[in-house]
Amino acid sequence: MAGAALLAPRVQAAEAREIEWDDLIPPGTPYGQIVGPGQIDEVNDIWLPQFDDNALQLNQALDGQRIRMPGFVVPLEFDASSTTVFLLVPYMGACIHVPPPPPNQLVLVTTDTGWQADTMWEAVWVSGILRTQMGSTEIAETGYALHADRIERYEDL
Amino acid sequence: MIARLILGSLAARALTVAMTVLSIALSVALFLGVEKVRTGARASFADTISGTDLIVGARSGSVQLLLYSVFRIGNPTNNLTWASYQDIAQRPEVDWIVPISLGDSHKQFRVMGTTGAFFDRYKFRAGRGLEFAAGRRFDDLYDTVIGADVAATLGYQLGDPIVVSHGLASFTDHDDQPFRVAGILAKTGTPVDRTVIVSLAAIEAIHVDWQSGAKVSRDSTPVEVIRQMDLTPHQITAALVGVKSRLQVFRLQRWINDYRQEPLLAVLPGVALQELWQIVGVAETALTGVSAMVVLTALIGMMAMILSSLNERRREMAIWRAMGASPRTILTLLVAEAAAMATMGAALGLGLLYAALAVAQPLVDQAFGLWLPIEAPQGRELLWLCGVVAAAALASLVPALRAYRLSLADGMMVRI
Repeated sequence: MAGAALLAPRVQAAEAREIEWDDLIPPGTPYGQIVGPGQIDEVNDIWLPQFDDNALQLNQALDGQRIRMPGFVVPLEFDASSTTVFLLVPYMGACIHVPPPPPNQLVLVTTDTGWQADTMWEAVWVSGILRTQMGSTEIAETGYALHADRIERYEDL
Repeated sequence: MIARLILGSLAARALTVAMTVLSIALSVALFLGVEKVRTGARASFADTISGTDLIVGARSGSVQLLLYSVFRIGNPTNNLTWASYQDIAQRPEVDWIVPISLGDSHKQFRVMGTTGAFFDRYKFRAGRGLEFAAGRRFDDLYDTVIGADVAATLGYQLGDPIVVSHGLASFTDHDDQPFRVAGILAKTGTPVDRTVIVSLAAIEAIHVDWQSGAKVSRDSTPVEVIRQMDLTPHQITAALVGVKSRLQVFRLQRWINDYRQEPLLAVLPGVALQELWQIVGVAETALTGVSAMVVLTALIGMMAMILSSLNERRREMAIWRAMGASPRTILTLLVAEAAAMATMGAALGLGLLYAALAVAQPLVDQAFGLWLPIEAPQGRELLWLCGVVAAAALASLVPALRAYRLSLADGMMVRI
């Protein structure tokens, strides 16, 4: 896997802009404001957050850009050895009290070669062209999609 | 020249060489076999579900939910009510939803109640859909569709009657309401092959006269009356869900997990499978470790055999040296002999493995639902075989170096 990563064209990697999760939120919106207060059900001790408009806004400046970003892999389509479609998320939570990441903090990644995960909750660097998918309603597809031409293990964790 | 000598030398000690080769072959076959079963098991698990975004069931563990709903391993802890199912189905994120109802059996096979959508939505092995080998979907209340293994094992044809039993192994049959085979599915290599599929209404119908696990009325309700009844299910075991956009999968999952009316659990199949690998990974590593040890033992056995043969070959070595062979040649000869034995052992081991696979494949498939593909050795396996040969050459350096040092002095001197 490491060998394959090394063989991938170096030029593309050099051009890729390295971004962080904060960059997926449109400039000017503080991270803390993307999840609304929502309601807290004290009896069941459940917090139902409400994603307000801030959580659904995408950073259109990133559309079509070649980027490189780190994240955790949640497999969606897979075979015995590798996963070909996965969600890239900023954090992994076993704690079910934590709400899921808001829509603009998720990236749907597709890859032709497949990513061979060795362990659960593996962190990776993903490189490829990022696309924003805007929907007018809350239910339409809103979020980021990325076709990865290069996936590397995130070593420094 | 030297190759001929090596073969001749090995042939001269055919029996001991054969034993060594056999022990290497057996160890290699064991090692590769363990690898085959390991990768085969992973592949059949991973290939069983595809295209499903969430599995929903009563709250238990994610691995448990995955195992009973998809692999029919273990038993459901509880059911979810039809009302909850309807609530989930009406969520805006849901693209499609397929209910599954388990709990009855036919002979050794499980009966699954579902809707016609199952045949469209259930995908396996990277998005392949179910195909009919014969017949079609159920359209009558008492129609069933059976998996390929059910048809093969019980010898069922289209139109044959089937009686469903209550529970997973049972002496009480729902014999008042026989079913009819309407369709036979093509082989998939998944648990569907060993499943009898009926409609959800049919599951309700066979339990019309049943309450709390026992038949309440002595006279069963006539089939004609049952057909008129409202057979909306009250509860189901699990549901497979596809979402409209995969970016919404977490939101729906959380909504289901926070559902107030009933404790429910929604899992992503990929994540649950990874959890399963994590659990079985320890056992896998142990198994691989043990079989690697067996290979090591066989190689040490070979080393011992070469060492002990040095004694009987003292004269041979001395003659070699006297004929002008350098100590280096002696070393090469011994290492090459070891490599030749290991190669033969590896080749024979591979042969043994494929012979065993050919015999065991249908048996393992039937007993465990595990499909072990018979295919040419993969790069990884070839690498392992090369590793065995290299390790053999390395191990033979111990006796070879000894021969290197002693070959002349030892053989020429007369021992008292």
